[in-house]
Amino acid sequence: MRHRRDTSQAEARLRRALVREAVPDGFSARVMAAVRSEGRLAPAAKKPRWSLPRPSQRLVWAMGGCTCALALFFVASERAVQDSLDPAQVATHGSERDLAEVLQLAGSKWIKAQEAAFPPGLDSDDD
Amino acid sequence: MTKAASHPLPVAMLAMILLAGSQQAATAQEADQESAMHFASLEEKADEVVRVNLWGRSLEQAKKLLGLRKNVTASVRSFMNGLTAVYRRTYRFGKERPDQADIEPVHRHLAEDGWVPLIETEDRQKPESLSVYSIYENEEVAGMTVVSSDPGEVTVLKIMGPVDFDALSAIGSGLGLPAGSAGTTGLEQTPAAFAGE
Repeated sequence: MRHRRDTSQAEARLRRALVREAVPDGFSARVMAAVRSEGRLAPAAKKPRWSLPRPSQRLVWAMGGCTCALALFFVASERAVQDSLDPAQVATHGSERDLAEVLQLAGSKWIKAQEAAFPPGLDSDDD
Repeated sequence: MTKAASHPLPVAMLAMILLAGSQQAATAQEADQESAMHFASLEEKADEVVRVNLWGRSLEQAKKLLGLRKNVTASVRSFMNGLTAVYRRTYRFGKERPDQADIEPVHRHLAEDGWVPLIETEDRQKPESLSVYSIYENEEVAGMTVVSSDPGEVTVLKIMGPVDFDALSAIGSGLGLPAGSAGTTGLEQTPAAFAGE
C-alpha cells in the first residue's frame, strides 16, 4: 500500500517534469507505462523471507533413525566402558562390602574427629 | 499431516542426544574425581594400597545389595541412596614412612578443589592427624572427605552426595549397618577393591 502511494507521487512528479521538458511524442506515455508497471511488479518482486529448504519426509525419518541408532550405540558403548572399568565389582558382592567398609570407616573417623574437636567434658547446658 | 509428523522425531532425537550427553558428562565428572584421588608420593612409598572406586553401576548395585540387608535403618538407607560416588585410598607403610611433605599435597588438592575443612585435629604427642572436609553446592553439603594419617597408614575417604552426619555417626558407632558387613583391615578385600583401578 505504502509502495503504491510512493509510486503515485513519483508518477505525478514525473508527469510534471515531462510536461515542462520537450520530449518526443509517445515518450512520456511509454515512461508512465513503465513506471506503473514497475509499481505493480515491485511488491511481487519482493524477496521472500529466508527459509530452509524443506527436506523430504523420507530424509527426515532417515536422519532421525540414524541419530537414534547413533545415540543408542553411544549409550551402550558407555555402559560397556563402565563395565570394563570394574568388572569384578559388578560381578560380585565386593562393591557392597567396599561400600559398607568405607561408610563404617568414615563414620568412625567422623566420631573420632568430633570427639577430638569437642571433647565430652566441654559440653555445657547452654549449648 | 506432514507438519505434525515431522515434529516429534526431532524432539526425540534431541532428547536422546541430551541424555547421552548428560551421561557422558556424569561419567567424565566421576572419572575426574577418581583421578583426583591419585597421590603419587604416597603411592611410591606405600607397601600396600587399598583402592575403592564406587560410582555409576557399581555403586548402584552396592547400595541396592546393602539396602536389602535386614538391619539397615531407614536413615542410613536414605543416606546411602543419596550417594553418587565413594572413593577410598589407604596407604600402608613398612620401612619407609611418609612425612609431612607426602601428606601435604592431599590437603592442597582438596583446598584447590573447593573443599572446606570442617574439623582438623593433630596429636602433638604422636604424629597423627585427622581432618574432615566438606564441599557445598547451593549451600548444601554435597560431599565429605576424611584424611587420616599415622606413621603406618594414611587413609583418604571421599563420599560424594548429600551427607547425613547423624546417619554417618550411627554407622560409625556400629548401628545402622548389619554387623560383620565390613571388615576392619580392608586388605582382605583388595582383589575387589583393586578392580576399580
